Amino acid sequence: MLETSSSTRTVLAAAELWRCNADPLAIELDSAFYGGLDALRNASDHADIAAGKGPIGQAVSTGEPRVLTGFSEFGFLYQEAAQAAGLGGAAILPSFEQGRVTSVLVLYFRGGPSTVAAVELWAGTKGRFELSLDQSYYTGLERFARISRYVNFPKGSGLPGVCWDTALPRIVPHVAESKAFLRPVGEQDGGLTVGLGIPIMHRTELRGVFVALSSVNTPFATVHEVWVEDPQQPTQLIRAQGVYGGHVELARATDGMTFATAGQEGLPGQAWAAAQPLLLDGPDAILAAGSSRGDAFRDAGLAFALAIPVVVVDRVRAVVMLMG
Amino acid sequence: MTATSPLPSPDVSSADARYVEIVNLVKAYPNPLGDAIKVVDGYNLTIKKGDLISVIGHSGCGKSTVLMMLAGLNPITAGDVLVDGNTIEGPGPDRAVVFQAPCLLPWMTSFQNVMLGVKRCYPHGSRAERKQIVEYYLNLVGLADAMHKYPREMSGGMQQRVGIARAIALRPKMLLLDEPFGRLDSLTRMDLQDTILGILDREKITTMLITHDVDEAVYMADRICMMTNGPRARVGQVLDIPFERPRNRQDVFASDLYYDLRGSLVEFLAKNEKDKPGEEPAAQADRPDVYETPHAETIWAPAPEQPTILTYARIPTVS
Repeated sequence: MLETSSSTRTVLAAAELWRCNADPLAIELDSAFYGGLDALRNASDHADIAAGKGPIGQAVSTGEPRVLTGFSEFGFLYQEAAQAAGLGGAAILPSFEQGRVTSVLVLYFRGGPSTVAAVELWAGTKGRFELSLDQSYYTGLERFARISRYVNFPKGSGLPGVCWDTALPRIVPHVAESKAFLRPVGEQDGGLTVGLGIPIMHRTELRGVFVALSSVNTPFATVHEVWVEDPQQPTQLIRAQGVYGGHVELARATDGMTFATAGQEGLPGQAWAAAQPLLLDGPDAILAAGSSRGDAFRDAGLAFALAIPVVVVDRVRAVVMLMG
Repeated sequence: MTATSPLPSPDVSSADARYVEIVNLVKAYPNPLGDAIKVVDGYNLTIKKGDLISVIGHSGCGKSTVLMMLAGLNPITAGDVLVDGNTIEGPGPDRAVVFQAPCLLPWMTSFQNVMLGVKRCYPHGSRAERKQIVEYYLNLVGLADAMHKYPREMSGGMQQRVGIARAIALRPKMLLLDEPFGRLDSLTRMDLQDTILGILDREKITTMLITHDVDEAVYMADRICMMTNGPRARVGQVLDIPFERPRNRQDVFASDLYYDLRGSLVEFLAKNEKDKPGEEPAAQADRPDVYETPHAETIWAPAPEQPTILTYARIPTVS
């Protein structure tokens, strides 16, 4: 195992997947991971989530993704629970089917001075054909935050521009050294390492690019993976990228692994087939879905797994796996 | 922990916001030994009417090549340049250029050098009108007392002022400045920077400034276009410079943000200096817990359906 261990606290502290039923006003909690944050679980149990109400309900109504600093919009229970758990921000990412919101993924992020991370939403700027910073959550990155709001990326440049150009997610394993990342990351930026970019849809059009940046000591997730169709065998998913937070055995256990796009084996295959995010809580659930790399999952001590399909123009193009 | 408030939505009409559009610009030179060498490849940039955009990048990255294509002095291999909605085809008086060397005709006075272009741009104006125009612009650059001097009788800074007056007197839609202060001492340089900013504040001419000087770029520009290293150079990122106009040098230099933005530019250049052209270093080389597919070029090719991105929309406030 390298410098990061399974005991590392990930920036992604909790997640909820809310499903919209056929009745557009009904929003139900499909699955969640709270990682021991019982107060947040309790707040969720008592939350009154309805279309148009609160940030989750608004996301169902408008289809707009959000990145929030603080929890005042969530209501008193969430705010208290988040504060007690040391959370600093959240992202709300709707998923669509033929332009209709079918689910909303809520990601909760740790805060505080010991957490170094950035979560950003880059969006097109009117009249310029460039991506500018639309919404963001920064912790431990004051200088980086100050500069980033003045940065714009054209199509094909920087992590957001590449995700826009290719309509694919991308992991940058070493943002400080990467030529492709472009934004300068100095030592004063808290040792930012892994960058993740995910194209975000708004109904049937590309809305922007979600970017998560994190440090060695506080990674966004322990494991980041991108699964795409095999260029030589389009019915099979292959791993395009993976960053395993020091878990070399898990990286090796994944070597050569493929999943059928039409099949139900493994989380990437299931998320691809469903075209909706999947969230698993607890080692047992992960092991059940983990197929042949179950032992490596167990050894890595992973507690949650989140599969996010990237759907662009109604076509699944990739699956992002986050585990921690 | 910090929060970033959403950027204000640009309140300019679409035509003004895209006054100059550079779309997928390519400059390739023939190579007798193989494929043509693309110096610039896929250069995209939009400039708002009246903005001053500064272009920085390492020597030889293609900054001046882009400017010469905009001026119509170097043929475009592929792509388009539109100024005020019109595709440019060759040089024209709607785009005036100031080079590092003033390039004045030595047998003509300042007045005569400026009059040369004015005669072409105002062919139907009376002799008195043209004289007024020349005097006005020479006065604007601070040469009211040197109108009838020959280049040999003037300093480098004064000669460059004549060059600037000659360019602006054409009333161009776009002013192209190719390292115009490169040969000047620092005091003259600062003086001339302020002269140009004063003129641009008044005349609102859309301007592209090529420079190697990050301080000059931050002080003068509304936006800074950072170019990647060549060959196949393109726009890496564009930095907004939020200082209000008219600019005051002391106020700008006293701002903490100035040093943040300046530092960002220096780090970008330093990172590009370190990086030699080529592929990203193999991720697995020093991190066995990192995997990168060998099919990266195939997988991350531009999307076939060319997805368009929605323009900026302010996120509604949740009640």
